[in-house]
Amino acid sequence: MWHTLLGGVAKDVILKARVDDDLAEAVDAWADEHDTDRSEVIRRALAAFLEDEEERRKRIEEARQAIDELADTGIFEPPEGDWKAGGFR
Amino acid sequence: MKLVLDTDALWHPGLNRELAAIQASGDPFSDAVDVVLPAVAYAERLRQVQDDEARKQAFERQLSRIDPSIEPFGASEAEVVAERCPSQGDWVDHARDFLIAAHVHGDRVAVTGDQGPAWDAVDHLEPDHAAELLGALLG
Repeated sequence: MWHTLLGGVAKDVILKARVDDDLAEAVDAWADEHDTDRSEVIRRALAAFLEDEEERRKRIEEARQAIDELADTGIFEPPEGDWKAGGFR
Repeated sequence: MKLVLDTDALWHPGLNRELAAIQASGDPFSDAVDVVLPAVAYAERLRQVQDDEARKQAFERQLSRIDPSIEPFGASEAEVVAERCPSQGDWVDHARDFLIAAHVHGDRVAVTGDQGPAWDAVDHLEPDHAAELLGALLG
């Protein structure tokens, strides 16, 4: 969910160029240092974010797939019989 | 969010997919989702797969993916059981549930598809519902 929010914020920044003063200052400082402008900094930041997001998605899908593959072993089938019966006396 | 797994939560593939996905995501909130496997639930499931080497190995792989903390049953859990289960009839019929549910206290939530007095006493989620919530967290 936070990725979705962050994505929304990044888009908002790009579309409306609305950044708070501290962030704007940092972005401008970085832009000066790298001889570029604010929009280029934001473009690169978004590209990095999207790359991270793609890697994250891959890790998530790989983990889900690993669990799906375990299903073939029968590990997700409940045990047979009345295994719940009985407590302690 | 601390989730305490009942034994039956371990054979719910949808829940296990999302627990594994949370662990793999590397998201900041993944550290905030703690998965607790009470030692009694671990014992129940381990003995169910003990006679089948393939299933035993699969169980090990499953645990390595969802990465739960296997929590011992200690004095504080014993005190919780004594408080929650005064009835001899409930003890005879549901002892292991009470032993597992004793790990659910404070802000912890049980994940179980089971019903009964041990679960009535605690906050709990159905595995389907827990999987849905975790999936929504991942976005």
